Amino acid sequence: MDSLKEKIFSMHPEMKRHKFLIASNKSIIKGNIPVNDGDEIAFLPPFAGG
Amino acid sequence: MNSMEIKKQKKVFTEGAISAGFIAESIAKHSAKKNIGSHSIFLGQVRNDIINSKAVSAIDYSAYEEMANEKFHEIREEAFQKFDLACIHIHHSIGRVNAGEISLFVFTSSKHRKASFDACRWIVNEIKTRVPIWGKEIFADETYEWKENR
Repeated sequence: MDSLKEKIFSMHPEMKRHKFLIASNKSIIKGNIPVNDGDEIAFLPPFAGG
Repeated sequence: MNSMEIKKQKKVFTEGAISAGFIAESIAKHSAKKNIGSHSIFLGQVRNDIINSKAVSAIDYSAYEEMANEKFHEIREEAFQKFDLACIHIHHSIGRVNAGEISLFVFTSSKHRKASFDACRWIVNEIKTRVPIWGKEIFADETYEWKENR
């Protein structure tokens, strides 16, 4: 996830200013996990349900 | 615990505001379940917050729906494990909901009051922190700001 974040930040530096969580295949990821082909990765801004 | 109720993913999202009529009907349907002695209901209403001297006139809700539905399902299952409930109903709006209208309806029922009270509060808190839903706060001049749960 750290290397993915690096990549996103270099492509979109403005992302550094935003708070977000990362989900892999619809589960929130804290720390690092391997990313496989076909995994669905999502950058999720702060939630506002309710 | 009713296994039928925890296995099936239920439809949570409803387009636009949740009407008082829908809520009333939902309450009425429970008269058939005579083992229930307590209902707790939480209604989330869109507030006309003042942000930078402009009042919010509506919230436009969007969601990562597939993940949100999974999370709602998880929360339901966990609530059935944690509390002694007869049933749980959760409805959340998607799309535009005007200030003063209802965007969240959580309805828990149990034999005695403690379980329905505690579960209702717990479910609302879990929705706010775990479910990927976003809200665009729209002002009267159609400018907007993204809402963030505290």
